[in-house]
Amino acid sequence: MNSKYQRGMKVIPTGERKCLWMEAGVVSYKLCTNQYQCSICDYDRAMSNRVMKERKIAEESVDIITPKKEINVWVEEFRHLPADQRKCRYMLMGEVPYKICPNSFRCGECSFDQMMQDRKQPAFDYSVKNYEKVAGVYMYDELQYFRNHTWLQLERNGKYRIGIDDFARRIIGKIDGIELSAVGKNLDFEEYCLTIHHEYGDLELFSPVKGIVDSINQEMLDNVNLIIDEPYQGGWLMTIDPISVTKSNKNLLKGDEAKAWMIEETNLLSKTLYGELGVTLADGATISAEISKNISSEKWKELVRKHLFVR
Amino acid sequence: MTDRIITIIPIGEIDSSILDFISWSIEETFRITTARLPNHNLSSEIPPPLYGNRYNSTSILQHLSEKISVNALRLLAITELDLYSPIFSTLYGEAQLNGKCALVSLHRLRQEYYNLPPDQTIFLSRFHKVVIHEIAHTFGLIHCIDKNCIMYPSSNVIDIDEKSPLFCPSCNPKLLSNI
Ligand SMILES: [Zn+2]
Ligand SMILES: [Zn+2]
Repeated sequence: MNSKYQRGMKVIPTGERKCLWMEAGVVSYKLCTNQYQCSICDYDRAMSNRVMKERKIAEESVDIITPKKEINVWVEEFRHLPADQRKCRYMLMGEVPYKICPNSFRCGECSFDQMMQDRKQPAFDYSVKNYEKVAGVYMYDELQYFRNHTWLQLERNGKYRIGIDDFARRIIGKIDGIELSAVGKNLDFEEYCLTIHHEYGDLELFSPVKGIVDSINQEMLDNVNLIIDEPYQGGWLMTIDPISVTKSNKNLLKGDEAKAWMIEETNLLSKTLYGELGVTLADGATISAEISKNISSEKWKELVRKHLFVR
Repeated sequence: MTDRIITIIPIGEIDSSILDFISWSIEETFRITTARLPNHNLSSEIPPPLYGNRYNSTSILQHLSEKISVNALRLLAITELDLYSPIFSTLYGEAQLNGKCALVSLHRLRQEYYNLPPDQTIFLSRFHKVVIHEIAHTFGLIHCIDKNCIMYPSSNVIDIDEKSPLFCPSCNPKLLSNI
């Protein structure tokens, strides 16, 4: 048995999964936080860079020149594992009971992977329940928030589901119609992907993820005010097959960082809505969904520009 | 000339023991003397209530700042009325940032409102925190991200109960330099 693999045996908490670097025995303990989507994983990138750097130093010291190439070191390590330990990622994720990887973990070339990816979209996980109200805005612990008030959630199939957050829907108020980027569209960082028609004018929101539009919420298209009524559930917008999220990490917030940002956003909201009394700060249970009714269209446009980065 | 006084104005009937308590609270916290005006009835002077008997808090603040002239540093209005504002559908309080007027509603601060047995200690603790928080807005403090700080924006009475009655190390110096 591979000795490195033995050393790596540690307890994995229920519901958690080993990182492939751990599975391959390169590191002794690391859990996967990205649903085995290594292409978007910072840890994978850092580890690959580190190993390549070490290898380069070793090669230079013996004067062997090899062409530089992008590789995943765990892929190589996997090849050295005994056959019965080269578990398919769908086995690691618990989606199939037993499957050995026939492909040295080159999932992009694997027909089984393609079949698994082509399965019907899983229904949205309505079990997200750990919500909290922050300065009168509902926020879910499980979601990541982009600074333009879109949320994203990494699904079990490695796709990102995106929508608008509770703050955005309260500012927007009511939607007359929408246009969305089509399935298959390749979205760049911060590329506009949603147009909302509103009585005060159209507004365009950009995608928090770089990737390919994988699916669109058909039910929402039939009833666009689901975006307003259930922004975190039935009103989700689309799923995106991610190419990368890392470039925009500083704009991507989770947990306490996201909550602190939301408080700052509500401070900014009060400041933007100054009136004859100057700025007033209010303390209450829930931000009103009727803000747009109480302000001029000019003021509303200022709000959506400042908070939703719309064009 | 403005006197260095925080004037309290009850809007409608307010129990005098509650007003005595809050005068003491304010004086202890800000080291500023308080004064009290007689009960003020304004139901005919502000827009009628909406959303099931909730009054527009911003209109009441507007009324206070225009109609009540007192030589005081700050004017704190206390009411039993239920409130809303253009931003919040229900309110505990609202205040002018760096301004003169603050408003606090007692309506949603009592245990009875949530069908729980009355508890005067819990009620007074909430009342104290909301009043000090609103007055601190008039001294330039905005909402703080520290959940324990009195300037944390409470979305429900549990948030109010969980935060401390004190200013955090970031808010405290700002308050001291502004009062
Ligand atoms: Zn406040
Ligand atoms: Zn603070």
